[in-house]
Parts: sequence; C-alpha cells; structure tokens
Amino acid sequence: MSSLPKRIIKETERLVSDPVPGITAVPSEENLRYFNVTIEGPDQSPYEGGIFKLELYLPDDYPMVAPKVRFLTKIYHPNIDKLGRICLDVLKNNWSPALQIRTILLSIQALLAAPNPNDPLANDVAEAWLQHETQAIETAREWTKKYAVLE
Amino acid sequence: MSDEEFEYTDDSDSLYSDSVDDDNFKIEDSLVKHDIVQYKQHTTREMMETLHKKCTKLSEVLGKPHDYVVTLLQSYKWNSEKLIEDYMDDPQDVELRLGLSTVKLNGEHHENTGLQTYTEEAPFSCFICCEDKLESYKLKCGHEFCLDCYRTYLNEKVKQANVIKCPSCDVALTPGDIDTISGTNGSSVLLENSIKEYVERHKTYKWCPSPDCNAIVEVLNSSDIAHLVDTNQIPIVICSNGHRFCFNCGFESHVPAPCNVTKQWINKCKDDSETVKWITTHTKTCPKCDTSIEKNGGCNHMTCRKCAYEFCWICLGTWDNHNNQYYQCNRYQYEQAEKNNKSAKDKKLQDEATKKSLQRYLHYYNLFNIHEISTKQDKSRCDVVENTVREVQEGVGISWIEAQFLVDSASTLLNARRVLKWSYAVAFYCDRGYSLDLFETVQAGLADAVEALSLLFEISDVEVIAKKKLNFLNASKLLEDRQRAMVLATEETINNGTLRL
Ligand SMILES: [Zn+2]
Ligand SMILES: [Zn+2]
Ligand SMILES: [Zn+2]
Ligand SMILES: [Zn+2]
Repeated sequence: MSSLPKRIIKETERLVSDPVPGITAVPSEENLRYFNVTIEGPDQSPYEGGIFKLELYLPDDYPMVAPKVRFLTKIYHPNIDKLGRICLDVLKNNWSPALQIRTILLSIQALLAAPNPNDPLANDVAEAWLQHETQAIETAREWTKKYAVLE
Repeated sequence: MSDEEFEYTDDSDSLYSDSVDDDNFKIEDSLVKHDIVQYKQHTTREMMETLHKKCTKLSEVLGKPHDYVVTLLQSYKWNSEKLIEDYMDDPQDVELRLGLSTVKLNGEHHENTGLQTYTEEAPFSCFICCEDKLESYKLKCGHEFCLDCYRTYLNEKVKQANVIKCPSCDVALTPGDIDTISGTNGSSVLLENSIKEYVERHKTYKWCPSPDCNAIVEVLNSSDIAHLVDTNQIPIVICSNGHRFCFNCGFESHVPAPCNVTKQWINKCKDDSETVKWITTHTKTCPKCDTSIEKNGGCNHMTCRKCAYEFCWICLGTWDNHNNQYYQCNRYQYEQAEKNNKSAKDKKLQDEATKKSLQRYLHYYNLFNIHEISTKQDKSRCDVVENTVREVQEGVGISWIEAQFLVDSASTLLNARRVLKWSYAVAFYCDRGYSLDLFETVQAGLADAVEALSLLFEISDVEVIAKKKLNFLNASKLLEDRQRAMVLATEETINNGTLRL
C-alpha cells in the first residue's frame, strides 16, 4: 500500500484529538483507510439510546471522491437499506473535497434525527413511514432496543 | 438546484430561436427537405458556435460579460427565455442562486482573486490535500485551494454538464476560471458536455447512431413523428456525414421494416442470440470438396479455390440455380420443414411446432445475419473506394468526375444490402400465403441484384474497373429499381394485413 496522504493523517489526528460529540471513528490497525465508527442515536429520535456501528472506507481517490460508509448495526430507517447502505446526497452527487469524514458522520447523525421518507432507499420502510408514521417510529424504536442497545 | 426547476417543453425552446445576424458568422442553412421528415443537420462545432453566438447576444442584452452569461445559460440548461424572464424579475436572486453574485459575500470583499503564487519560506497550506504548495487559485468567495487539487477537481467535474462550483460554497467558476486552472481548454470540454446534455434532453435532436460520428440531426416537424410511426412510415434522416438513420428508433435505417417490426426483431434476436451463435461463422467448407473457405468480400457467390465449384454462401447450393431463376435460398421451405417434422414421430406435436418456429426464425435470422456480415465486408471495401477512385484516375487517366461512378455504386450497394437485410425481418413476421410469395419473389430479385453489384467490387485491377464502368452503372440502376420494388412490395404486404406482430 502506498503511503498515507497527509490529508488523511491530519483528519485522523483531529478525529482523535477533537472528537465529535456522540461519534467515534477509529482507524483499523491493518488498514489506516478503514475506520470503525459508532454513532449515538440522537435524543428525541426513535434511535435514542442506541449505539450504531458503521464501517467507513476512504477510497484511493479520496478526497476527490466520497468515503464509502455503511451501517453494520441493523436499523429501521427509510434512507438506509437492509445492507446498511445510506442514501445521502453528500455521499453521492453533492460530495466535495472540501468536506471531511467528520462532516459526513455529522450528516449521518442528522439523518437519524430527521428521516426523509420522500427520498427513500428502503422502499418498504419509506412506505410504512409515509402511511403509518406512529407505527413506523415504534418499529424503529423496537429495532434500536433489539439491535443497538448494548447489555 | 434540481433539474426539475428548469424543465421546459421541447417546442418552446430551440437553440435557433434567436436569429443570428452577425455577418462574420454564418451557419450554412442546412435545412433538408424530405418527403416526410423536415430536419436540419448540425455538427457539434456548429452547435458550439451557435451557443457562443447566443451568449454574445445575451451579454449585450444584459450588459454582462460573455463569460458570466455562458455560466448563466449553462445553469439554465440553455433556456434563454426562462433565464431572461427570471433575470428581469430579480437579477440579484438569480445571481445569488447560481453563485454568480458580484456583491460582497459573507460581508467580506476579496479583491485579490485568481492565480496566487507563494514562496518556499511562506507556502500555501491547502485544505484539500493538507500539503504546502506554491501555486493556488482563489475565487471571489475567498476560498482558495492549491492548483493541483483544483485541477483534479475540475477534471472530474467537466465530465458532467453542470456549472462547476467552488468546492466549499456555491460560487460558480466561469469559463475563464476553468481555463486558467486547467491550463487547457477545460471550459470547452464542459461546453461540449453541455451540448451533449442539451441534445439528449430535447427530443427534437438526435445524435447520429453511426459509430464515431458526432453529427446531430434536428427534426423540425417532430410532432408528426408519432403519426408517421403509427402509420408504418419510417422517419429516415441523413446526418451531415451521409449516414442514414431512423429518427424514431435512433438506429440505422431499417427500410423497409416499419419501426415496430424493427423493435420486435431486435429484441427477438437479443433474446435468442445464444441459440443462434453457432450459425454466425465466417468460415464454411466447400460443399463439394470440403476445402475450408473464408469469405472476404460481401458477395455471396462463392467459387472454391480448389475445385472451382461455384456455390451460394447462404444455402450452400450450386450457383447455377441462382443465376436463372433468382435466389431460392431466401424462401423458407415449408414443405421441407414439414417433412422433417413428420419424420420425428416420437416427439410431441407441440414440441414440433416450437421447433418449426425456431427453424423458421433461424432461417430468417441466418439470412439477416449473413447480410449484416456482408455489409461490414462491403463497407470495408467501400471505405477504400476513394483510394480506388484515385488509382483508377491515375492508372487509366480518366477524370475525377468520371471516376465518381465507383463512389455512387458503393453507396447504392450499401443501401440496397441494408434494405435487403431488413426485408428478412419483415418476412419473418409475415403470414404464409400468396402475398408472402410475391414478397419473396421481389426479395429474391433484390438479393440477386445486390450480389451482382457486389461481385463487380471484387475486381481489383483498375483497368478492368474502368472498362467495366457501364457494368457498374447498369448494375446500380437495376439495384435501385429492385430496391424500390422491395419497398413497395413491403408496403403492399403490410396493407394486405399479412404482417403479424
Ligand atoms: Zn491541495
Ligand atoms: Zn467558495
Ligand atoms: Zn453520422
Ligand atoms: Zn425506426
């Protein structure tokens, strides 16, 4: 593997020295482009109390291309599918090299606080969300308890 | 900004709605009148020039720099009517929305914009790569990035057709910014992609489907196309490089097959491609002496190099039969097929029906495919026809004009073989009967004339070619007549209701 670009070293340092509240991102020892991430479910959201595990990978062309991020913990959310893939504009068309790992993780946290069923990735979840919102939120809460709360 | 914001109808906005009245710049009026389709031929370059013209005009109207207007129009997907409307309404809103605002941003005013240089002692620290650099670029928003990062960023962005924004905010890069940063003509790449998008967004425009051709055709009576297609007429247009294609299908000319026949046939061939792979081979063995024979030219009249047996590439039958009474090999032999099926008694009736239909399909597919391959072979011959013309000119000492019969014959041959090829797709969808018999007789006549002209193109001796000029002319004339007959026969077959889709 080629040496790590200065940009990635700097971002990694800052993630450790100046962490984002409710978010941890630790590079893997074998591959410094691979991060183990956790995001706390935002207060007053159906994900409150849960700690969600994600994986984040910085491709060779980073920061010209967006990082690849995926939920590892099962989650009931209209913009996150069964495989944990996330539908978020800044991970796709709206990515800019001026954005950072921390801004991406903050956007994901914001997505948990404000699901957007009108731009869905998981169609069945989005439909449930639009038609029976109270019930959908209840399901999201149950899933959080079942999969994202550590004993 | 979403795409929907600037949706507009195809008819209200034409690139050419503004008259261009600059004398230094004249686009040749390339309006082509055709029986059923009225269209204009364009090249990408012409389109670029026209867009630039449009910008110059608008830049005068708005009293803004040319660069600025290019970016404005690009944001508006070249819909100048909508742009002018919005701009007259609230220019500041438009500027702010598109990142073109000239007023102070964030209360700050950044004077020293553009290319920046630094020293080793006091280098620039780039936010994107986090490296120390000596060269950077700064936009009026004050955001500054090293030249290397900016270049990489632009290289990705020009591939899309959208206006490029500052990596950190919504300020738009003008063509001037783009060219300075890229060090090349990055902005014209962006403009070209913008034209591509323009053409793809407007159903009145279509790219020529011919490989490596960048020509564009604009249909003026696009509202008629649907009706033409419904009534089995084929909206054929010709690009500025002389390629014929169907404007409805965006596919090579498929005369005489109507568009719906073409679509079904193409889909069928796609679905069944695995089954018929074995047929498409370039080598066969001589039916008499088993010598392997490779087919180089487009002509299907073969002569074995070893035993001199003359035979037909399509049916492998002796050529003698073909000369007197046209091709019989274009006709699907129902009697033969029925006999074959009867002998397979142990199979169920339904099985046999399926097999028969597959055999029937293979029969027509084989013919279609053979002519497709032959077309390619003819084409490679005709591609060098200009050379042949020069050789004939020099070798025999006739004028360039006199040698043009070769070019004309070549294009006649290519067109006619394509018509013949597509007539097999029509035949496949025809019910068996008197009408099909007539159709196939005309088809056999066309096939015969195609091979006759193709055979003349096998001649490589320039003196012989020059001597055979009359043969070329006669063969071409005959071929054109038979091609016309084929088109008429198809129309009649369709009118008779013989076609089954
Ligand atoms: Zn940089
Ligand atoms: Zn900026
Ligand atoms: Zn063309
Ligand atoms: Zn068509």
